[in-house]
Parts: sequence; C-alpha cells; structure tokens
Amino acid sequence: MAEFTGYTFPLSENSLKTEEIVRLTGPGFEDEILRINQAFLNINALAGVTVIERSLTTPEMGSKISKIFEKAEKTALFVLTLGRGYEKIAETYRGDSLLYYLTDVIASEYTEVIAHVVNRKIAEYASSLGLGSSNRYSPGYCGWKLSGQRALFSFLPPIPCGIELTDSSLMKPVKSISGAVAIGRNIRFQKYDCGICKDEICLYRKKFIL
Amino acid sequence: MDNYIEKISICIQKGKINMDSPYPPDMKGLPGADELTGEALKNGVKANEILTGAMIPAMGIVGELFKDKKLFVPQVLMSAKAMNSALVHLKPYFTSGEIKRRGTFIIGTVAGDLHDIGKNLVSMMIEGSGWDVIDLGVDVKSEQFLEAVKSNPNAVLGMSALLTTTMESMEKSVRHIRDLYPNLRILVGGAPLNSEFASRIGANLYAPNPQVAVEYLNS
Ligand code: B12
Repeated sequence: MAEFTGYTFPLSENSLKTEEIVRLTGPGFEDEILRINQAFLNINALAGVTVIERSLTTPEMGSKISKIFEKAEKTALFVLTLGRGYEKIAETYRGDSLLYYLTDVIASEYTEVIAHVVNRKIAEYASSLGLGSSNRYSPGYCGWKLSGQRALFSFLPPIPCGIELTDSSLMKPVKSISGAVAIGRNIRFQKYDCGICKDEICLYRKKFIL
Repeated sequence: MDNYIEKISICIQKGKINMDSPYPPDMKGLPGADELTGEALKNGVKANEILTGAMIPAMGIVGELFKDKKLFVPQVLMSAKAMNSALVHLKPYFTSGEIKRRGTFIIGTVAGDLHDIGKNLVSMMIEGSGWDVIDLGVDVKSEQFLEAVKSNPNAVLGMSALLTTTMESMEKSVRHIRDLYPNLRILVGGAPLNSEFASRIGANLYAPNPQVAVEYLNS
C-alpha cells in the first residue's frame, strides 16, 4: 500500500476570528464564543494523506465525480479530525444548551478549516511535481455515496489518526472529514463546482467555498 | 394581570432568563421570565394562563421566526432557557394536576447516528409548545424506542437521522415499531430526509424544522 503521511495542525495556527464564528451563530454571544474559541486553540488537529500512483474511481463515487477522478495520474485520499480534544470541550459544556451548541458550531468550522488546509497541502504537493489538483470531494457529497467511506478507508491504515469507521459509515470522533483529491496534468481546481451536483440543501451551495 | 402575561411572553421571545442574565443587552438589569413568573403567581395570575397565554404562544412565535430563518439557533436556545426558567415555577401545578401537558413526545437519534444538535433543538421547541418530552439521546436502537412507547402508549414518537446510511436504520425502526403499534404517530426529521421517504417508510410526517412538528402535534 502507498505510504500514509500523518500531519499535526495546531488550531492555534489556523485560528478563527470571533467575527467569522458570529457569521454562523448570529450576534449576541461574543463573550461566550471568545471563551470557547480560546479552549479550541489548545487542540492539535490530526490529518493523514495517502497518495496512490494511479487514478481511482469506485462504484459509489457516481458519474460526476468519477469523470474528474478518471483523468487523474495520482489520487490523494485523506482523513482529518479534531480528535478527542474536541470531545473533552464538548463534555464540559454538555449541560448548557447554548454553550454546547456554540462548541459544536465552532468545532465543525475548525474541521472545515483543516480540510481546507489539507486540500492546500495536497495542491502544493501536486504543484511541486508540476501537476494540477482538484477540489476535495467527500463521500456523502456531490453524488458520492456515503457507503463509499469503506472503500476510501481501505487505502488508509486501520483507525487512521485515531478515526474509527462505524458500520453506518460514521467516523468517530465526530468532528472528522474524509475525502479525496485528484492529481494530474489535466486536473484543475474549480472555483465553483456545484454545477456537478443537484443537492439543493448542501451547505457548500450557500458558501461557494469549494 | 395582562401586564404579566405580556411581559413573560416578551421575555421568552427575547430569551431573557432572569435579572442576572446579560442577554439580550437591551434588557440588561431587568427582571426575566424567571422572576416575572414567580411574581405573577404570587399576585394571583393562574398557572394555566401563564402557560397557555404567555409561554406556549411565545415559543410559537419563536418557532415561526426560526422557520422563516429570522432567528439564529442561539437565540432560540435562549428563548427555550427563558421558557424553562418559567416552567420551574409551574412544576407544582403540573404535579397537582391543576395544569396539564398536551401529551408526551418521545425523541431520539436513530441507531448508528450521533448527531444531536437538531434533535436537541426539536426537543426544546416541542417542550415549549406544552408537551412532556422524553429524550432518549443518540444511537437509539429500535428496542429502546419500543420500550419507551410501551411505557407511554399515548405518546408521539420522533426520530432524527442525518446520514443516508442511518436513514436505513430509521426505516428499519419505523417499520418494526409500526408493525406493533399501527396507530402510533411517528414524526421524522433530519437534513437528508424528505416527505416521500417519510411516507414510504410509514412515518406520519417529515418535519424539516421544529415548527412544522409543533403545528402537526397541536393541530
Ligand atoms: C455541521 C456538519 C458537519 C460537521 C459536524 C458533523 C457532526 N456530526 O458533528 C463536520 C464538518 C465535521 C461534518 C462531517 C461530515 N459530514 Co456533515 N454536515 C454538517 C451539516 C452542514 C450541518 C449539520 C447540523 O449540525 N445542522 C444543524 C441542526 C440544527 O440541523 P439538523 O440536525 O438538520 O436539524 C434540524 C432539522 O433537520 C430538523 N430535524 C432534525 N431531526 C429531527 C427530528 C424530528 C422528529 C423533527 C420533527 C425534526 C428534526 O429540525 C432541526 C432544527 O431545525 C449537514 C448539512 C445540513 N444542511 O444539515 C452536513 C451533513 C449532515 N454531513 C454530511 C456528510 C456526508 C458528512 C461526512 C460524511 C463527509 C465526509 N466524508 O467527511 C462527514 C461525516 C462526519 C462523521 N463523523 O462521520 C451529509 C450527510 C448526508 C449523507 N450524504 O449521508 C450532510 C447532510 C451534508 C449534505 N451532503 O448535504 N459535517
């Protein structure tokens, strides 16, 4: 199997500003957000990437994503997680609905931030080889069936970065993301990629951050 | 008297819990739902009037605004907290039977799924509309749902699933429970679901947000 490279990303180096969080939670709770956000800065997110030296398509990917991945010369498969650090914070606030919710939102946003960082790392790796790279795609999005998690995890070591895949394809700890990036001469990053998918409720459709 | 009803209602709508609570900033230092409910009862306002004239309608307004995306989740949570602070004063009246809940609502996130944010919000809104809520938590197996229904045969059941894979476990649970309780009302919710799925698996309603569930329950 191709090598799995592990990374540690301290959230303190990727910190979110209160304003960025307020955009998600609405105003009025800046003090609480500041306090909770502070606790997140002690967390080290973990990520791991395996690059395989060929294109990869799986039956669960669906035709739209497959079309992108079949052109690849290499495929990067990744996972990332906030790990147990998040769960400890969430436990502290479980008894208070507001603080628990804010913790959840902040954690989800940090998970997305780290996914972005991983996507960028893979892009840097690709460009160091003179190759292009795609957006990140995840099982459960853009027509890639969630059950495709199993095939994705088969390219990673058991329990990568401490992430366990349950029978329902859920990752534990919960604040985790898995996905793949296509790498190759004819692969390009798409600024706005929602054209390939019809999912009207998808959060990326609103954010346009792909 | 009307004054108390009006004031308690506003506190709940705005999420003003008590005097010490700094939220919302424009009500800083003023009494909240907690103190006003205590005072109202002391001054002879009937518990039932507070419940049905202030608390339930106030949460209805909040639910409606949330449905229309005019409120963020934290604002709704503050309203629910204010509501709960008022409910504490009404507890003895529930115990004595002077006032009654509309019914019992059992809720849980289905087996294999750990998402709880949506479920928690639904619990609070349904409680705020006058129901007793039994929250079974996350990763709830059919047997646990069944156990709860057995102990509360007149209850309405709510299930949450946020993943396409756990929609399958929701389907299994609903079919299993439906076989044993053909008349039980079952509501389902969660981002990847839709009405078609709900009716296919034998649920009575797909609720995209808590307000739709509240309207159904109270109709
Ligand atoms: C935040 C989020 C994340 C976060 C945190 C996840 C977590 N578990 O904590 C992060 C970024 C980590 C994440 C990761 C993933 N996610 Co995600 N995520 C979301 C998102 C954007 C919001 C979920 C949320 O908290 N909503 C807020 C609450 C308030 O809303 P809610 O739960 O929907 O509940 C409301 C209603 O649905 C309703 N309701 C809910 N239940 C019930 C029950 C009853 C009875 C009633 C009446 C009403 C009701 O009322 C609630 C209040 O309005 C959703 C998209 C979405 N639009 O919902 C995707 C979503 C859940 N994720 C999805 C996916 C695929 C994933 C990943 C598998 C992607 C990947 N491959 O990495 C991973 C899995 C993580 C894991 N642990 O396994 C999919 C799941 C669908 C599917 N295809 O199976 C979704 C739906 C996005 C999509 N594709 O549209 N995710």
